[in-house]
Amino acid sequence: MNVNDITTFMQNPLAMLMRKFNIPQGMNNPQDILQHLLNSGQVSQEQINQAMQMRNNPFFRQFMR
Amino acid sequence: MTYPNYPYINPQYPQSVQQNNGLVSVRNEAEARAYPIAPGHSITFKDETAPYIYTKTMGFSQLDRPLFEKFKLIKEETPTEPQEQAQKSVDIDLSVYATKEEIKAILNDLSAVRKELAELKDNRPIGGKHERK
Repeated sequence: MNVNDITTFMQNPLAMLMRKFNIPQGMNNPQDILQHLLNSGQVSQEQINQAMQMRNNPFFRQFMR
Repeated sequence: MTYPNYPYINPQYPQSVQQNNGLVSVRNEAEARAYPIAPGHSITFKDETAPYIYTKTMGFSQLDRPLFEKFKLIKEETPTEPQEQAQKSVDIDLSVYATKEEIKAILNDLSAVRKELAELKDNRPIGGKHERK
């Protein structure tokens, strides 16, 4: 990651992440993005399970906006 | 851009009970249907609000649609038949049966009658009708 990447990230973090994970343009539904990450093998089912578990956990819910 | 100072998250966060024994707890069927699943994986869900179990299975091909199945949980009541049968065996009317003592008394009487008969046979001559002539 160079200075340009950092500048791009600070200007538009979401676009940077989309580029990093090769998420097709126009895909903005979190469900579709997760499925894309799973299908492309960038994340494992266990990681998804952990993420879903954290999302439903009241302890972590207090940090979500 | 300034970010608010988030509190430090203690690594010893409370353990969730959302996923136990390989079952993923969901609030409803829609949540189970929408759960992301990797190709070649299968996940079993337990509905927290209704007596249902769901399974979602994804084939190895990404082109295949995931297979979703719904199972109803039915509580099996504890069988009461053996108790009823035990009660039935207790309810047998015992008044129609003879006790061992009663049978012994009858046998004693019978043996006494047999003795008397034997004595009578010994005292009387056989074929008394012919002798009278």
